[in-house]
Amino acid sequence: MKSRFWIYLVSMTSRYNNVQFFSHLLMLAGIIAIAFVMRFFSYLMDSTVARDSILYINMAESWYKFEDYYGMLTEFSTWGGIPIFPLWLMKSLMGLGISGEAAGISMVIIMGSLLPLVIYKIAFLVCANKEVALGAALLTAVHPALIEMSIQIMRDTPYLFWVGVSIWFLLNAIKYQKKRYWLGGGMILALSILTRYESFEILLLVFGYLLAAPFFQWIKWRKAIMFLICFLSSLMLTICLLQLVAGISPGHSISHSYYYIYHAFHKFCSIKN
Amino acid sequence: MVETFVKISRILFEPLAITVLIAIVLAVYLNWRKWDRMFWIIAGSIVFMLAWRMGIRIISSRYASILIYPTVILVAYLFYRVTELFPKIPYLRKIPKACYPWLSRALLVGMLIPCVIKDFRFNHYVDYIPDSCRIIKADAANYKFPIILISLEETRRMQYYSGIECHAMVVADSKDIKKIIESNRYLYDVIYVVVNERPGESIAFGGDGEWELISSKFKNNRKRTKFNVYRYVPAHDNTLWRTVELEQRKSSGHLVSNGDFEKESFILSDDLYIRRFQNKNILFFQKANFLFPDNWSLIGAPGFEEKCNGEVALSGNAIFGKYSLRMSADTGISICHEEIHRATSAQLEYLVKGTPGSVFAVAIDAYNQNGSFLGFKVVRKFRLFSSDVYQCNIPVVPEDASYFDKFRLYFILESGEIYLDHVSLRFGE
Repeated sequence: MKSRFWIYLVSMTSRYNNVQFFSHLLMLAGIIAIAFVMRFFSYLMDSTVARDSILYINMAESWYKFEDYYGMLTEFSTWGGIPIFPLWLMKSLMGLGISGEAAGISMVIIMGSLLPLVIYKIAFLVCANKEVALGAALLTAVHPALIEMSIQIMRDTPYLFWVGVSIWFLLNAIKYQKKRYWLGGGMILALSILTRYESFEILLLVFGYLLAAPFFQWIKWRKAIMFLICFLSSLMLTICLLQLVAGISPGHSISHSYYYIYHAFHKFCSIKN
Repeated sequence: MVETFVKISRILFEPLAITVLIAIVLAVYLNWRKWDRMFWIIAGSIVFMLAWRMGIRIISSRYASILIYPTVILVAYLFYRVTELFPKIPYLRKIPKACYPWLSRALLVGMLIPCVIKDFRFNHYVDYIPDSCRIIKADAANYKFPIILISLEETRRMQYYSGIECHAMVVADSKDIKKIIESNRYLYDVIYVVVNERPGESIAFGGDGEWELISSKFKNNRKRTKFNVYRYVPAHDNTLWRTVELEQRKSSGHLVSNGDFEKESFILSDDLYIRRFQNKNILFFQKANFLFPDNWSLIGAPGFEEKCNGEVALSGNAIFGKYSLRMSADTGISICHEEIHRATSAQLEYLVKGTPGSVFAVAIDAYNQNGSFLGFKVVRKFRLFSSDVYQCNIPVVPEDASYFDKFRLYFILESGEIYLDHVSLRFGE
């Protein structure tokens, strides 16, 4: 155990002596800084709150005022289907003494600025090329739609952030076949699902993979079932725990989950006749 | 499908959306015959994400935002791997290999330029809503009951920035606006009407009162639309609604039966009038024993929800004579006149006083010639701006201008406290 630690320490030291490693690290930090500056400047130039953002701000402020999710629902009874996680984050940030608008905008700008890092990690995992990963991160930092979404208090940026992190975990899980990545993937995907309904598509993809992988003999059935159990248990546990922390009863949590699935297919998209 | 494709290309940003198609071709070409597990998983996932979005109609391009991930990665992949094709292309073969990394970087910078240009294309008039709201807010400080009337989509935003009650209005032309203003003029002491107009256009409001354009701002750099704010201050003392000195007032000869509320009955706890309220926790009706006017009824009268805190009874604090009808509530209550009047039009007159801020309405149950019920229609809403006695003289015409042959009269109290007296109806006018 002791020797493994020393080997790790020596390898880290040698990595830090590596100029290329440092330059990449600096470049990545620079790209994140560019992303932040671009978003902050854009916000200064266009700080008018978007139409739909008002609803989220009002809901977070109401939640903070009542200190209770159900108290908030008395004022927004028709909006009970909105996933709780971004609202809960905003409400929690308001505990620092800032307004709902400030809480919302800090949340989206910070998460938006971290998107290049998420893309970098995914691109590096997929392409195994640092320059490609840095290029993708740079494109993310200046992408017009991402910047626009990062200065509006909506669920898009938190969703992209959480779903990106969960994709990174799940790609690692597929590549390295480690249980810890499946656990992490389930946990982060739960946050993503509690942010926006579309995250269910990742769940379907995971089911598809775990069904196809033993069929194509990429992994054994036993392992696939074990990975599925790890993934689903961490996903369900995170959903339940987060809702309990936010003050929502487990019963409501189940009905929420049903609501998400229902709305994923019926509210946001109407199937063509 | 085309519509969805356009939405997806918009969220991906068009130059990137086009480049990613080339990137996909390159990725397939370079990985030809060395497709591994990860390739199938990633390619399958992208196809799945794209396919279900193409199969349905996505409302907003934002629902395809996750596709930005594969797009930026594939575009970066294209820029860094395209140089592998150069040795196979006659003219490009001459480029020294040492230049390849710089070519890739140049391609990346080339793609960054349109992105940055788009990022820095700001709308110089973006603050038109906060600016207009600031003007409205400062102006509304001079009034007690202001309201903003605006199209549905901007209601929340205007309310957020101005802090003033906003109502949505659906308008096609200035006639609609006039109609909406008319239905609100006795409820608010100032009405701000916000409309999008072309430069040079302006609505002229023909009615009485003050009508003034107080703010006009462009909405965007194209300068094709202006966000105009009009202020309307209704003239509150007019033929329909005016304060009266009781000594000068002449009694109407057209009182409805017991329209002066002088005939009273004593209501006991088992009375039919209050039986329906006894399970609703309305304190006033639980104790019973109060004076109620003859010819007026609570049976079938809308409102009276739990916690409405409603009270309806004759009061000695009369406007005229011995009694007036007193109504008080936190949420909607009502009373109706028992008589059904056979007329297609009528002129209603009554006296009212009460707590300033109280909101009440005149309404009717409309029937056709055969006595079939056509609906419950609001005639007009009012708010008391002071504790004076007002005389109201209005035609009984529903707000939606629907037709009727017979009607039954209602008074609805939305909130507050009012006293009613001398209710009269003149027919055939």
